[in-house]
Amino acid sequence: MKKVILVIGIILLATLPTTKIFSQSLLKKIQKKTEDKILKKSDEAIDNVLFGNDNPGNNENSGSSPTGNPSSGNTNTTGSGLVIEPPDVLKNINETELAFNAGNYGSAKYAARQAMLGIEMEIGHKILESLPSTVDGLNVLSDKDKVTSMSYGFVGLMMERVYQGGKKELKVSIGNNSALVSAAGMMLSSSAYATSNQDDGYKQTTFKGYRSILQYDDHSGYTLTVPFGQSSIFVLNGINYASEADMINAADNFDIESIKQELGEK
Amino acid sequence: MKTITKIIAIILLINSYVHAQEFATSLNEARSSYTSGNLDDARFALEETLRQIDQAIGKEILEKLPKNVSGMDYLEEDDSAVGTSLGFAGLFVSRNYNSETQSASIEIIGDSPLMAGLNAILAMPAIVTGGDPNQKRIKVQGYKSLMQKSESEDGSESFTIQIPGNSALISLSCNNMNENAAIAMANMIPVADIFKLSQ
Repeated sequence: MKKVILVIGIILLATLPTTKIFSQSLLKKIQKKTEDKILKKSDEAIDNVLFGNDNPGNNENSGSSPTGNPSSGNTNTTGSGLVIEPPDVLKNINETELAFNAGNYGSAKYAARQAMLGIEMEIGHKILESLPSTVDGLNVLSDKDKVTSMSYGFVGLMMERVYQGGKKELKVSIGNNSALVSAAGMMLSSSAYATSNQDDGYKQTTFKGYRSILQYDDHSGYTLTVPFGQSSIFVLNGINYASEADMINAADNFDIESIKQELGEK
Repeated sequence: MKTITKIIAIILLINSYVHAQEFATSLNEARSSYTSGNLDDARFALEETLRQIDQAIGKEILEKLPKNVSGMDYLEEDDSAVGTSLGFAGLFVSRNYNSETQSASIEIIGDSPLMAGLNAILAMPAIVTGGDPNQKRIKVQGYKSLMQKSESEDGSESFTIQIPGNSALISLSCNNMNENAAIAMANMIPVADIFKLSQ
């Protein structure tokens, strides 16, 4: 017994100096991981808009992925899902007023955000309705139409539409009213970005009078990125387009000026 | 003295009346713009409304913060309650205190993405934070918090205590103060009230 205690004691003594180093490095790792997680979330939001990233992990609000297996082994076979309706804007504006006047600022903030969400959803659907229903012989996949709103600043309003026909696919993403998109737009449209980037897959171009970036890679095809207005961006990703000219011809079907007007951008 | 108190009370009343008027104006603008189908203007007016609500929350938080702590008086002119109209940090409140030898500040950030990281660290076993001799986990009024110590060249100690909630982060910085005094000051902050208000 004494021998066992002695061996344990020696092991503890031998590992004591490393425990502190281990814990410090572990703490740093955790801090880095959490920072990375925050950055990753904002990067994903930008990627969705800028580069049409179609990774299923990015669609947190879509609710399409399973959230876990039931512990009993039973699987859900009935249920009609959630009834998702945009919030009633006027009702929430009235609730904001009542709560604020009663000094209940938390409820006022919640109701104002709901009203904002309702307005942004309406703006998003209006923009999607204004887009053409066929482009370059490709038909719209209306079940893929998506409007996402953070209802407040950081990521803003995002709209997505997909057109498909044969092997060709076009994905339109429009971002609006976002601090991140605004910063990204400034960077992309600045000549410094284009001239400092020596990668063959990027080039600066002008699309309907707007400074834009055209990208190409073998995996995702062509991507045209057009920042416009103060905080908006238009991104068109074309898969299986034979040439740059074909891609631009397809892009010509979209009227940036009218989208800008619909969004109330200057 | 009575006259000064009356003047301050009148100024505060006028200020709150003006603020309520501004709120009503932007909310009415949101309502009428939405009704007339001008969605972008309605959204802009609602952003303004949200900023004013954040400001009102900030002012209420300031009223709840102590005016005197550990022999230090608050600096009224430094009081700040800002609504940024950005989801990244919608609400920002700060109050500074000082005396001849010491100073401190309390900052509250609402909708802060920093909270996720801080809560993750606090949820870890003690060995993780035990590794850094200048950092330790403490409880302030029952809330898990992170305390960080730093030392200046003249040997005086400073402490930062961060208390994360569900929707806000409270940061307390104490300069030229020992650990016990810093913790005592943290315990004077109405943490539960602040978290409730900033929800």
